[in-house]
Amino acid sequence: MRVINYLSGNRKFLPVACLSYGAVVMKRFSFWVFLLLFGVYFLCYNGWLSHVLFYHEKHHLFLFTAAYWQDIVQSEGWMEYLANFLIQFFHVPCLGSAMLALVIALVYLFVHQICKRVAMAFGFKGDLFQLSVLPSLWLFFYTMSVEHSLALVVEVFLVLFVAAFVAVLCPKKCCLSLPFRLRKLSDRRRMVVSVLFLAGYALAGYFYFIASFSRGERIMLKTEQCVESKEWDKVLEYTRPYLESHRNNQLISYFHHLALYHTGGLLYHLFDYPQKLGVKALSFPWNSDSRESEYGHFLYEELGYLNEAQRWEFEAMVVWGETASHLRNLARYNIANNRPLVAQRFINKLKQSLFYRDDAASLEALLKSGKEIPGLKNTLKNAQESPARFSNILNIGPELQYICTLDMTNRMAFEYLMCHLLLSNHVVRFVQNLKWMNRFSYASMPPAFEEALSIYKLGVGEEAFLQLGIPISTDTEQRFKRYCQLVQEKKLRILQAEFGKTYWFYLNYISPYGNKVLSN
Amino acid sequence: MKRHDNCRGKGKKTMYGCFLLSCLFILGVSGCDEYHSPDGTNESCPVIYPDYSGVTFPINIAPPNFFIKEEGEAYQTEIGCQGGGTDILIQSSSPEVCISIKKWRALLKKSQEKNIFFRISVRQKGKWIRYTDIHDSISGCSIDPFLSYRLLYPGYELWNEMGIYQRNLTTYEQIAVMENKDFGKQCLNCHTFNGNSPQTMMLHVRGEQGGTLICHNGKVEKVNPKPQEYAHGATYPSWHPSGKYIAFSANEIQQFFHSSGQKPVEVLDLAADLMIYDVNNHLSFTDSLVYGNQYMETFPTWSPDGKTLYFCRADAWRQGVPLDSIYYDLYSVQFDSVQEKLHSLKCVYNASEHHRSVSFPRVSPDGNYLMFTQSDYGNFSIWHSESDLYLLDLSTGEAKSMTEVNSDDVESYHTWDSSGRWFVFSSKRMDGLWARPYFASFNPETGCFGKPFLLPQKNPAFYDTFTYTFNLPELMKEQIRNGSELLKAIGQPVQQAQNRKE
Repeated sequence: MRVINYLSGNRKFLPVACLSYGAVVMKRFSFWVFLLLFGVYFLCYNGWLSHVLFYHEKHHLFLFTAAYWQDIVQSEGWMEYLANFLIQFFHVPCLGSAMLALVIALVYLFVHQICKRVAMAFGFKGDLFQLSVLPSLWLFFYTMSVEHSLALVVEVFLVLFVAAFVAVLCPKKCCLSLPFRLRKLSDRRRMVVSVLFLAGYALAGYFYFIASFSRGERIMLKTEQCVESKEWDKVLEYTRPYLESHRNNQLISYFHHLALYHTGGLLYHLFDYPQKLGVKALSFPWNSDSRESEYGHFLYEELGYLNEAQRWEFEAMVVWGETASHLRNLARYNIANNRPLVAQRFINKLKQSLFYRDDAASLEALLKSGKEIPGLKNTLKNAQESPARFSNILNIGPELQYICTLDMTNRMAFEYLMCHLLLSNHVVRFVQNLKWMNRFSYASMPPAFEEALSIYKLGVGEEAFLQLGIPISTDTEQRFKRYCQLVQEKKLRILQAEFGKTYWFYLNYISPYGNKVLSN
Repeated sequence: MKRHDNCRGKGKKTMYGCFLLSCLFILGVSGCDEYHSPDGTNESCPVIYPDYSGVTFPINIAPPNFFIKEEGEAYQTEIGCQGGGTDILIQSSSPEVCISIKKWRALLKKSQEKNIFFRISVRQKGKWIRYTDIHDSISGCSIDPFLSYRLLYPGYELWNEMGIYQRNLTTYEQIAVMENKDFGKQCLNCHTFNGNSPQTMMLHVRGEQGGTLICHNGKVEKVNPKPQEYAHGATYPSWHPSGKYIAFSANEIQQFFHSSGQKPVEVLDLAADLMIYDVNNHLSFTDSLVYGNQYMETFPTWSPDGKTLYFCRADAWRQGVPLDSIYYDLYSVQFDSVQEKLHSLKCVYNASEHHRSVSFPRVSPDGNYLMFTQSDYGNFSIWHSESDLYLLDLSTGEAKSMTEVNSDDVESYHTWDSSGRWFVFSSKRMDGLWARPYFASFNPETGCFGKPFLLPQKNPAFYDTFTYTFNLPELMKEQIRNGSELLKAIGQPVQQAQNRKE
């Protein structure tokens, strides 16, 4: 009785405005939840999950042609076609984030509408526990992995859209009457219950997000994105913390060294992190691996070795399909390699897309004008073609040597060659090629070079070394003595602390090719 | 009253009549083409793409749709039989010329063994300029109505989606025979028919469920023609005309990539031999004439009587031998089908003495000619821009370059049609990378060829954006109808061939 009095008393004194406010809030509650979800999703896609959008955009290209429609619908289905349509907007990250966030947030509204009707059919007033948030949240978490196709998102969206539409058409009357009292809750209490459940979902979602978020994947994709846009300082911002955490990843090392070269630090910081991968940290040998096929062209393009860049890029296109980056690069390489008709085919494809038309137009203009592609050089343009010379696709070393022989100005080839020789324990050949250093203006001899020279000196003796005419600084000589002393004393911890970033330490303790200098 | 009624009725009828006439007039104006007489002429032939000018068409080919590559505001194309009027009139503001299949067929029917004309007028600065007519010939001979080919990217080592397709040459219909997406994206290649008939055919599947699918006597089976004693697997095939044997080369193939220049890849044999597979008994046999370490033998092909096996032969590759110094000659060996023995080896065409190399020999159905591809070295001519088609007169032993059909770029794989009056070949003349099927007529009496023409497509811009290559174009007398059985056979266990004991 007290409770009833209390309730009735409350009712009695509750202001009319407050009552209607609660009712109004509840009426628009779903809309506010929708806005909240949209906002959260948008911020995530535009921030922490931006790499997911980048990945999808990089691997899909929507074309506005009947042939494309026919091809995709026949081979992959309608949903894939629609997903690809959506993905094209990821080219503009804000727009893409907004569109994907909208699609997934709308899923909430659709489910909410369906739940409301179903609840009404059972005599409830609405979706009290906000269960309609769950499918939307599930879809959001589903999109966190780049491996998941967005076709499912589109499919769910469309199915729920139709279901919600049908639900709206259904009569609102109550079909069933249930005994328990939840349906008699006041609007304010309903709101409190809903908010509490929402808070619970948000909390659970937050922990799930943290648990399933792949930092490594994000770092790799963001690094790749920066490499594509040649933002080398940003590349290092991503790769340094990764390498500092003592993790080893060939792709990260590969990008790290590319960025180090472009920021002028390759020769000076090569051994800042343990090079456990040896020469594989510098380049990808051809392993017929479909995943790796996407990355080889970066290095070869920078080196100006366009036949190899073209080969890697074509293999990647075969595996990953005609995406914008493959088409654009293949067009560029073929223009530079004087194959305009081949380039034109790739340009023709790009022209059929929404966001790459301008790129296609500028490439076509370059093609017709005969001008060089900005930022792209063909180092082997004037190389002798007869007798035929074939690339060593398993070991980049001979190729770097070949480029250095033909192109005296190719600083990158020189630095990569020297790093390759050091990492592969080829100290003798390293010293033989050191003469090319004079072609370029280095402020000082890189410490790793001096360290390698001191090892060489140890091997050939003082007299033979003097004939080289390359001095080793006193500081390096002294450090080497200290290093040898610590090695003899087997003080490994001190050794690592003091000399962990030296070539000596790499050669003795890290090199995957053993601790012996290779002469051939 | 009656008269008045009559008058009123007449007036109504007149009104309806006028209305109908007006409708017809409006329809006529909007629906029918108004012929544009020329205001001036241009003495040159208009440039059209693809180039279908001066070619000989078979009587059953689909309409050769094309673009007029002349600047203008509007276009008018008249097509008709020479000496007669216009049968087909196409007007458009776009330079695209798409011909109705029905009208085209009617035109071909009446133009058999005659010439047809394409009379093109272009409105330039408000005036209709008529260009000189383009003339084509219509042969009375039809071509085998189906073309099969493999579609894939012209890549190197990796592959993803590929398939074998058949195209109806009388329409634009393309049907998939087999697509690798249906069996785990494994590789499939070397579709080969006996005498242009898909009743007896084979193809290889490479991958987890690898094997050779052989369709013979209404059955499909999966076999491995390589006996365990043989060094390399069965590769390039040729059906014996009896359908009892398939001659295979067994190759160790390697790819090499040019570090510079426009030639991207070199595909070469490091070893190759020949063997013959007995289809009915699952036995393979060979002979020291075509098997051994001294030479590399490849690309076998039978004469139509089944008594001679032609193939390409080069000195075996040794470590250190420059890859661009491997030259293949054309050889033949006799086959005794009773004893199942090879004998009498003979060099038919010595290309190596001119530092040239032969690949893809194919004997004409009458057995009088042998068409082959010749390039500077090696045998994988599809990557050699200098490779051209040659014709060897088997009665005289004289070989000549087929200048009527060759271009500055690649001409490579080719197949005769069953009549011997047509052939199809792969050419990269459009851009240097993608192989497209071209057809040309052949006169066995004179040994002359017609100008080749590109496989017609419904959309004339098709080849501008189509980035798959047409691999191994083969003409067929009829459609392949057992695609599903071939697919089913992939899942079967492999029937292993045994080495025939002497």
